[in-house]
Amino acid sequence: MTRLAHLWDQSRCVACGACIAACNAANYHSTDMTNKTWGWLASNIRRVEVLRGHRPLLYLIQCQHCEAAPCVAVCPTGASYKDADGLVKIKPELCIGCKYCMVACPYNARWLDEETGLPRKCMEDECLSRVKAGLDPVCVAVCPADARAFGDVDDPNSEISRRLASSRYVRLLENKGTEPKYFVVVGP
Amino acid sequence: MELQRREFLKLVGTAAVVSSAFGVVHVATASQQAATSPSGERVVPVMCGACGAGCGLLFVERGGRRYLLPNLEHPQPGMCGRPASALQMWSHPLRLKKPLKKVGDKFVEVDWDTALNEIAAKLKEVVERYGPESVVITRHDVHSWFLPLFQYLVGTPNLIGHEGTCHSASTAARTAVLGAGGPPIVDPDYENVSYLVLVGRNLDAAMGHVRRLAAARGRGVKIVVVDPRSPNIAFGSVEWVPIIPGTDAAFLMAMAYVIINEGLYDADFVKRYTNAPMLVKLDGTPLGGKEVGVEGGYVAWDAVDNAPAPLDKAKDPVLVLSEEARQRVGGARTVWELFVERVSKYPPDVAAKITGVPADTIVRIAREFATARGVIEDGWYAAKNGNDFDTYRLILILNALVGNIDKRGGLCFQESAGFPNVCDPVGPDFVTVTGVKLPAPKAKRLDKLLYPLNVSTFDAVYEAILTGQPYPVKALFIVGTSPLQRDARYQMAVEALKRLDLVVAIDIFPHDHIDYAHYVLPDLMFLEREEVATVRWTLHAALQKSHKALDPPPGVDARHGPWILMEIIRRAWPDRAKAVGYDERYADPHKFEEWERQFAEAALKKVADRLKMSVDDLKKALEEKGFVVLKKKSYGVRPYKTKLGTPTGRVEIYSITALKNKLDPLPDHREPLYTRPKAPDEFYLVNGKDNVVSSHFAFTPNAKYLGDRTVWMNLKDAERLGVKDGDEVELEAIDNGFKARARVRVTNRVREGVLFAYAFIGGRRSSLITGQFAYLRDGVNPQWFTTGKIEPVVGSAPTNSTVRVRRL
Amino acid sequence: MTAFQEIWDPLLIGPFLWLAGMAGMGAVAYVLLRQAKVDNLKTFSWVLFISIVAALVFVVADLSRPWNLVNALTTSFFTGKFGLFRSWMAVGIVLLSVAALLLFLVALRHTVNIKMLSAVVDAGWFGVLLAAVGLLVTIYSGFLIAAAPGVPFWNTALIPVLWLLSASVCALALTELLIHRDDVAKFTVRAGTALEVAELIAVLALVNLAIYGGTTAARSSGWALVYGPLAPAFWGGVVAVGILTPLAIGLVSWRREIRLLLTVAAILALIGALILRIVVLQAGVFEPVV
Repeated sequence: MTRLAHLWDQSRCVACGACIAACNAANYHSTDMTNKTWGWLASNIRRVEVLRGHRPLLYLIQCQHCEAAPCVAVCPTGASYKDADGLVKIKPELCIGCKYCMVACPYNARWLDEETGLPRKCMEDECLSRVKAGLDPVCVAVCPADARAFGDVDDPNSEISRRLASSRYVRLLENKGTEPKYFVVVGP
Repeated sequence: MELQRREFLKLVGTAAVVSSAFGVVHVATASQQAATSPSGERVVPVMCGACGAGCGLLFVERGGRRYLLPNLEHPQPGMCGRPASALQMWSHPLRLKKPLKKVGDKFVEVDWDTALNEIAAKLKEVVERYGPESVVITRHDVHSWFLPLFQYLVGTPNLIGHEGTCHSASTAARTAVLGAGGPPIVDPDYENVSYLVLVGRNLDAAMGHVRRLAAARGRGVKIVVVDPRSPNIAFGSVEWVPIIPGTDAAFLMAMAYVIINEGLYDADFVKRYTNAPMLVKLDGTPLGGKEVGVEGGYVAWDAVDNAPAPLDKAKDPVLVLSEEARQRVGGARTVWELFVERVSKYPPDVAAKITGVPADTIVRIAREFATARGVIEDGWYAAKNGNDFDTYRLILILNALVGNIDKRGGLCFQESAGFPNVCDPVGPDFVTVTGVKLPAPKAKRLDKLLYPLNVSTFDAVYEAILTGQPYPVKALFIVGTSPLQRDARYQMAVEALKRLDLVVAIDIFPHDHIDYAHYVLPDLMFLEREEVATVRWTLHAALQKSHKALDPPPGVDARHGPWILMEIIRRAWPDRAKAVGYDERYADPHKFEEWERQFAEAALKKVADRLKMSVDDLKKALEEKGFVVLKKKSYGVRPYKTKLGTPTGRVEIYSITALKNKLDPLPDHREPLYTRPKAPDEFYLVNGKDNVVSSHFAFTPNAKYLGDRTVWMNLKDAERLGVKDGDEVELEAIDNGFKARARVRVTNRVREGVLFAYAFIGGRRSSLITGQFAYLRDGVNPQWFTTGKIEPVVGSAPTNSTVRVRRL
Repeated sequence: MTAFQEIWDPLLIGPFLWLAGMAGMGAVAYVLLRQAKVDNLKTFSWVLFISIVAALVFVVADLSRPWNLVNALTTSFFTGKFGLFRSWMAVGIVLLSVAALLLFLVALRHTVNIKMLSAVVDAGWFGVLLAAVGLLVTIYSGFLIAAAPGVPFWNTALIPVLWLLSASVCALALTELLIHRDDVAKFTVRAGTALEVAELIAVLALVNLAIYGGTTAARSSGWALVYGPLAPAFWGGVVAVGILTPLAIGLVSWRREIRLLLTVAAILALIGALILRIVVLQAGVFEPVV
């Protein structure tokens, strides 16, 4: 089985913004449209900063491509679906814009694209096209800090599998039962 | 009847539904096909221009989508959020589109010919009345290679850049201690470091550094960040040491104290490659060979012969003299003794009081650094507190103490690509790289008269404009730099700009200074032009070529900066233009490439000849890959095989250059040049950068969210003052009284007693900023609050300040 | 505090839920009224039909891709992707469509004289079907938002129960306003009062458990309703106007019904029910990821 997944290394990330801005450039034609759902730019990745603890912490949040994705379960028309490669995708032609997927996602990983009415999230057209061609998604391709990886977690030889095997990692909101496939590395 | 009607209705309904379903299914398939077959790919190597680092990128056009990716084979690949937003810069609504002329207090669009003719006429008039030195050109990194040609065609000595509020102090330190130059000349060997200390440096650029450091982090390198605020790199696994602003030197002195006292220094390196053994007379000048009967200008005491010897020839120079030896050299002392005496003022507990860093932290970091033979990064942006020359000298000295100079994993010298300047001094003249002689300007450069060890200090220009001393300044060309975002004493700068007879701004965005220009000329951005340049931030010797990826968008009549400048020369002094082969043929900007290329070609030919390589091979690599590595870094050269460019040829703990310029030859912790906070409502206001900061990036829609126009305040201070996250406060500058409002972000990213605001981002004031970009006015420009005093000799203008906070 | 969700517009989905519930339990009330041999149900049936149509208008108004509604539904149906056994929204689409059709037939039956129509609508099985669909519509409207794991405040079994209670009160209110028969009036007063008590308990339980037993986001929502920016609407609109006042009137009218008072009670109960749904939607907060 193929299960494509993302890895983000919180211990190495330098918060350079390349992944966030590159997603906007590659998938959304560098649009200046505001992402009103998140109060953010039109990108599939958002930042959560923890600024009140003992030290500053950063989280980058994007679609977790959950194995038990609530957004897939709640979609009335099957527009939100899990593909054979393990990624959660959208079929725009089946989407009526009921936004149930948006309120169903515990990660608030979807945002409303006001131009098309679609509930956007990672992965979008250009990244899907790149993955199909054997390339990395754009966020992984641009990262200068070696803080990202992408690949098949069912393949023990993939870069992501090897990296997970040699790191300590957590997943977000695990107790929601979503079986997320976004691995946050916290250290070696 | 009813049955039939019902059947009929059912039939119609079903038919309608089914046919529409087919229609839908058909459409769905078609759109799927369009999405999954990308229509070909275009990949173009470009050198990023979104900040000054020039990282290697690839412009990609894939299936109708355009974006930038790092050029992974390049010796200094990108990238960060700034070039990722480059297409937003390209199509920005506020991008300067047409030449503008100030008429009254409004801008009117004029055509290029009008603008260029009028500028040329005015320039000629100014030069005739006041001399060529009354024309000043200021720049940052954009077009910096080409500008000296324009400068010498005008005949002015005054091409004065931004370095006075950037790296003047750290470069002066590198010069004084290592005989090196600007920030890329000496850099840590990031991929091989064992322990890295960043003092006020956040690696927001170059991204090639971040990549190389990432390779080291894979091995488990420790990184320590010493900074009053936590930069973005400190979100990850680093140790952040929050230090009181302006006290870095005390911290470093205490590190030296621990390292020396616990014998953790590399005595061999210190004796052989630094001037630690050098003898210094009681008056502070070096003991001369003549005075003790040996040859050479510098003397050490040789333990082997038990006699004085030339510094370079002593077989085993001592660091501490015996009393007997001291008598024989007239009571002179070694540099080491003087340095140890200086350092002993700063044991960790004393430094702890000054710096706000616990003594045991200082001790631990000193031990870790020395034991691991680590590197303290030598500094880039240095214009912080007005006591920066000493701080950066100490950094270099500490690296030398542990003997980590030019070694693998150490603080290394860059291999020089030797890319020639567009003009170089030859005898009394300047000669272009194409072999044309230009007369050298007669007058002296304004800032060098006052600040002999600086790189640039633009404040000297403002002073000259306002006072007419040492000579009048009447015209200013502002090329790809934002003086009002970058220079200290904003209000004075505005006053000065208003006094000029001619201000020409060549840029892509409306930075604050645009409002004070007589003519505003739209330049091309980095995606729209070609350029050959050194790869700046790699230890290898390498060159890169940025290719043109796009034309300006429709409606933007931007033209290449060098073309603009040459057209001005041609229209003012056609004979001077002709002397460098530039005539009216090139008035067509599309033909300009032919003329411009000859300079890059001549430069490449010189490089090829020097390295005995084929110039065609060079050009081929630049064309196809976008870069060429001329020589890989080889370790252990300086000061081991080649002397340093210092007076002694060694690492100068005791700087003779400083001494000659009447500065303390040894570094010390000194008070900042601005008034320090005294009352509970007074705070240091420090500024800095992160990868989401650059003067151009600030305008992008992405920067509205990735950038930060708030002022950071520590949680405890906020609680004490009753300030909540998002509250508006008023900041009043203690040194110049300026007041401004800003929103506060209550955060643990800044230490108590300190406020932080990004430079170049907040408080934009240009009248051309309209509509949806009005938010650019939010926040503060840190330069509003500065003291305006300049660090002597090195000409570095502190950009930190002290402000009083008032809740609104 | 974390921002309120703005994905489903409370002023569109709130009225949708209200109207759907009203039509749903109203359908059940209709069937019971038929059983009680009440005649003159024409107005009542048209009110129900208009409610469900209005509900559909409100819910379609919140769609971000309404132009694709027909295409998407038909394609998904014919390609077997329709989520009838997976998604409460899909269930709802089917239920609302069926309910609209059934209520149209009911309203038509009371308006035009078509023997075939009356035979169908008056049939026993039709009444069972109508009541079942009506009940399911009401329950679905609660499960819809309760099954959204992104907003913890809504993830409680109390929501469908509360919706059921509140919609029943609305149905009784409609009955009170439109049906004028003494035995019916007595029933509506007493049943209504009982249901109001149950609804009050359910509403208070909802916010209490959110504040004292809920996750961070649920607590945020609960706090907003009880003490925060939504408190005036909650305590004033939902509790005082929507429950306590009608409840008080109900108790006063236990023995003797005063027409005017009961009318006021019905209207206030209806208003309160609408506000309830609006503030519950407005109060929704996404669980913070960290």
